[in-house]
Amino acid sequence: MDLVEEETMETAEILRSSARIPEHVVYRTFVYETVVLNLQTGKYHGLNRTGGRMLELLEREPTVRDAAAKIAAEFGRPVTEVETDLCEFSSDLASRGLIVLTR
Amino acid sequence: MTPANAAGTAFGLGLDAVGFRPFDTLSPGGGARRVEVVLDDQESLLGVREASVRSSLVDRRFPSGRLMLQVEQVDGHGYWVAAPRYGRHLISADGRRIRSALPRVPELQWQRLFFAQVLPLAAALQGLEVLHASAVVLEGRALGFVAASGIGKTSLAVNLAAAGAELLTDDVLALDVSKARPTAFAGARLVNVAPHEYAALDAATRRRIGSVIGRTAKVHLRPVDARPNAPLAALYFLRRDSNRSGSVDIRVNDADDSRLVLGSGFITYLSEPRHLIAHLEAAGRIASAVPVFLVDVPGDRSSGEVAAAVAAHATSELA
Repeated sequence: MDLVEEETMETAEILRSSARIPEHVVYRTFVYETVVLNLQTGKYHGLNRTGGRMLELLEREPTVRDAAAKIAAEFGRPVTEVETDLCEFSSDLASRGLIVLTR
Repeated sequence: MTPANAAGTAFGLGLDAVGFRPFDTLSPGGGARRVEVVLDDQESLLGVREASVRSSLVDRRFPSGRLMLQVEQVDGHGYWVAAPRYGRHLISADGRRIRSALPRVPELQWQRLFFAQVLPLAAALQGLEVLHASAVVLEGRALGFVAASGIGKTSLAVNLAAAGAELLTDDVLALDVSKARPTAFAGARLVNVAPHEYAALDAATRRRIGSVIGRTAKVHLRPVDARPNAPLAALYFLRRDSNRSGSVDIRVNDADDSRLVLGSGFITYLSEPRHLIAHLEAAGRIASAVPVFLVDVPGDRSSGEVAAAVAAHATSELA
C-alpha cells in the first residue's frame, strides 16, 4: 500500500464518520468569524466565515460526507473538492480536540 | 494615612472598595458592585495559604531568580496575589472580599500592586471584562487603547488628556458588557508615565494632567479630577512599526475583532470554564457593540502626533 492509497482510505474513513463537538468545547459565531474554545486547554481558535459554517454543518449533519454535500451546494463548489477540504479541516479540528470523529 | 485608620468607600474598576480608603487614588464610591477590603496580618494570610492545596497560576521572577509576582489558586479560599515588598492578598473566589497584608513601605508601593493586580482580579471575578488597555473620555465617550506593554497606550492617553480629554484609566480597563453598549469604568487615580514622555510635556500640560506622587522607573501621577464612567465608543489597537516612517495610519478592523478583543484580556490566568466562556462572550459583545480600529504608528512619530491623529479620527468617525 503506498502513501496515496493510505491517504485516500483515510479520507474515505473520515467521510463516513460523524463529527461531534465534545463537552469541553464551546463555540460562538460572530459577524465575521467563529471562535472555538477548548475548555481543557484554555485555547481559543478562530475560524473564518467558511470555517464556521463548516463546523456548524459538521455538527448538524449525520456524516462528514453529508456536510460536504451541503457545503458544496451552498458555496457552488464541486462535491469532490469540498470533500477533500472538509476532510482536511475535520482532521485538523480533531487533532486539536475540537471535534470527535466516530464511525 | 494608613488603611488601618481610614475607613470608607472608594471606587475603581467598577467596584466600590469598602472598608478602607487607600490614599486618594480612588474616586468616591457609587458603583453597583462591592468588594470588602480587610486588613490582615502576614502570619494569618501565610497560614491560610500554607494549609491549603494550591496551584500556581503566575510565577514571575527577576533575572536573578528573585520572585517578582506570584498568583496562586488556593482551594477553598480563592486567589493569592503576592509580591515581595508590595504586599500579600487573598481574594475570595467571587471577588467580593480581599484580605490584605501590607508591608511597611510607602503607600504608593503597595498601592501599585493593589491597583495593578488585586483590584483587577476582583473585578474580573465579579464578572467585569478587564482589558489590558488605557482609556480616555472624549466628548462624553470612552476610547480604549489596547497595546502590549511599552507600545505607548499610556503616553497616548496622557497626550489626549493634555489636549483636553479626561483620563479614565491607565493600563487596566474594566468594562460592564451586560448591556447593549459596554460601560467603561474609571480606574485608580494613578497613572504611570515613562519619564521621557513626562519630560516632553510642558508645564501647563503637567498641571492639567495631575500631580507627581512618586517616581520609580516611571513617573507616577495622580490625575486632578475624579473621572466619570462612560459608554465605550471604540477600541484602538496600537502597533508600532519602527521600520516605517510617514503618517499614523488608522483603519477599521472588521475581520477578527472578537479575537483581537480576546487577546487583550488583562487577567489571562483564570482558566476555569466559566471564566473562559465569560471572556469569549464578552469579547463577542464588545466586538459587535463598538468599532475596532487598528492604529499603525511609524517609528518616527511621537505620542503627541499619535494623539492628534486619534483625536481627529474619533471626532470625525465616531460622531
